[in-house]
This record gives sequence, structure tokens and C-alpha cells, in this order.
Amino acid sequence: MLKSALTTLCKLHGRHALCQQLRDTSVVQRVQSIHATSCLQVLDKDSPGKKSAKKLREEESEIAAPPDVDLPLQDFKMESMFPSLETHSMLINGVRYDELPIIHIKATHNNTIITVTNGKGDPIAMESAGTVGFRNARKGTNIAAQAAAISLAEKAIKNGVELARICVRGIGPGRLPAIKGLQMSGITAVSITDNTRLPFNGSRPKKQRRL
Amino acid sequence: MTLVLKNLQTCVKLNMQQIGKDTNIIRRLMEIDKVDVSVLFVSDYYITKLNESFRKAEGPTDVLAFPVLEIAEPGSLPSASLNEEDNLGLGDIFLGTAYIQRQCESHGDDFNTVVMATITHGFHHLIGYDHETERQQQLMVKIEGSILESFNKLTGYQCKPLTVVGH
Repeated sequence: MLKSALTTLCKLHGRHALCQQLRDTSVVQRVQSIHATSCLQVLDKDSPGKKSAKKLREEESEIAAPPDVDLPLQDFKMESMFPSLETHSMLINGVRYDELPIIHIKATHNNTIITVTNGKGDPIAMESAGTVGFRNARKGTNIAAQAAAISLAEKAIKNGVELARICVRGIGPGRLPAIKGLQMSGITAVSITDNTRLPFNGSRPKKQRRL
Repeated sequence: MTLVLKNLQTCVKLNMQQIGKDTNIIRRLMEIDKVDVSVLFVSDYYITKLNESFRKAEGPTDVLAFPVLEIAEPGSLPSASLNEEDNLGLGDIFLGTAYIQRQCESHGDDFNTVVMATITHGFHHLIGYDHETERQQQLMVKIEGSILESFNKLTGYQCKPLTVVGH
């Protein structure tokens, strides 16, 4: 029962290939491994994702960890790095984690679109490299992404967004400059999630040998 | 509307102008010339990295398509565009150029023909087609075949759809 529920969950996350690979491993291990596809770090050497994850770990250790429980170091790192069931009710500056606004970054090689939504997912403001004034192929550059992020952060701060969860989708050149731009203009990232969809592959069969 | 076409590798010499022309013909045939797509020619190293980090599969591959939209019914594009400045973006296609050339050499195919067939295959993935089951694969090959047939008539290539079941 639990296994099937997990499988559907994995499918929702678009990681069903990974799920199949890890069918033999235990449930807990599997959940952690699913979250462990840290594509942000693989592709980018000087990743601010790493830094913010570290910051997040420190923040959480201040907020969430009760002082009298001694967790083993390894376990603690894993739990603070990846979301657990308790993450949703965690308080950050007095706000529940699942009520924090979300910033969605959609980065392709053509354009970078950034949207702020509230905790439920209703949009508050949207900005993209096109609306900032870049045209055609220049929309996909990292500078355009950063400009879009800065102008969106202004709008967001007007609406009272200071702490936010960040969801990144796609592997455009603007995915990291957008996060950097948001942080530069005063928005604190509580968590960074990679929401990239599972890519499709199109391999060809081997041609049959002619005799 | 924009087609981002980039050659990010130096291993194989490519005629980007010709590829751009042919890609635009395919986009017009598939009726996706009003939306944004990008086609990127990358090296073996880069596509291996992508394959490992996003699909947990080892080694290089010929094409990886990263769709942005989530299309339930294959072939149906959402009609509403975002606003005046932004077009609808479909996503990115990465082509492992050196891998394709090695395949061509071992099969004795023409490189440019295979590249165009691969790009068409990637575009079909972006608009929602898949080939995980036998039925999906038959549908995909049928649609791809009809597009490539009219493309062949226009340009004189001899493209055939890629055929494989599963991932």
C-alpha cells in the first residue's frame, strides 16, 4: 500500500525511471534518494544553491531542532537538507512553511519567466525577460534573467514578500542568475527546489546486419 | 516565434545555416512556428552529464528533450499566450552531435538526414508525444512519418522516423 502510494508520488514528481531503479531499496532510503537528485549542483560549479542549503541548515538548526535531542550528525544533515513530514509545520519567522510564498522560475534557452504566488499557488506578480525589454534570442541570456528577477523582487517586496520558497524548472542559462538577482534585491530563499521535468530520450535501435 | 539554434561543440563541423533553414521548414510543417523552441548541439561530455543528472542513465545519448509545458493530450498546444512580449515556450532540445555521428558511421547513414530526423523526434516529444508503450510508439512513428514525408518532398532528404519502444 505504502509502496504503491510512493510510486504514484514519484510519478507525480516525474521521477518514475528513478523509482524503478530503486525499487529494491527500503522506503526511507528511496525517499531520500528521490530528493537527492541535486541537479543544481551538478551543472553549476559555483552554485549559490549549495550556499543557501547550508544557510537553510543553519537556520533550521536554530529554529527546529530541540536542544535536548542528540541526533547523529549524518542523520541530522540528511533531514535538514531534504523535506520531511515536519517541514510543512515548521515555523520560519512566525510563518508556517507551507504558507510561505513561492517563487517559480521557468528557465529555458528562449526565455526566463518568474512568477510569485502565495502559499496556495495563486499568482501575485509575474515578470519575464520579455517584459523587462529584451527581445528575441536575447531573452534567454543570463543578464536578462537577472534583470527580470530584480524587477520582480521590487513588485514582490511591495506585496510584502520577504521570505520565499524557490522552485526552479528547466535548464536555461538563467536559472542561477535569477536566484542571485532575487537574493540581491532582498528576498531570502528558505528553500530551493528543482522541479525540472524528466527529459525524453530518443535513442535509435541497432540496425540489423545484412548478410 | 524565435528559434534559438546554438552550436556549443567543436567536435563535428556543422552547416548551421542549412540546419536552421531545414528546422524552420519542420516547424512550419508541425505548426509550431508561432512558439519558442531551442535546439542546441552539445558535446559528448555535456550530454553525458545531463543524462546522468536528470535521467540516471549512463553514457551519452543522441537527443534529450526537456519539455516545459505539461500536455495531457499529445499534439494539443494551449492556445492562450502569456502576453504580448512573451510567446509560448515549448522547451529545449539537446543533441549529442558526436554520438549521432558515430552512430551514422556504424550504420552507414547520412549525417544531416539523421540530424533532421532526430530534431523532428525531439519536437514531437516537446508537444507531448511519448514512446513508452507499444501503442504510444506506433502513434508517434505514424505522426513523425507523415511530417517527415512532406519534409522529404520539399527538400529532397530521405528522412525516416526514429523507432524504439521504451526509454
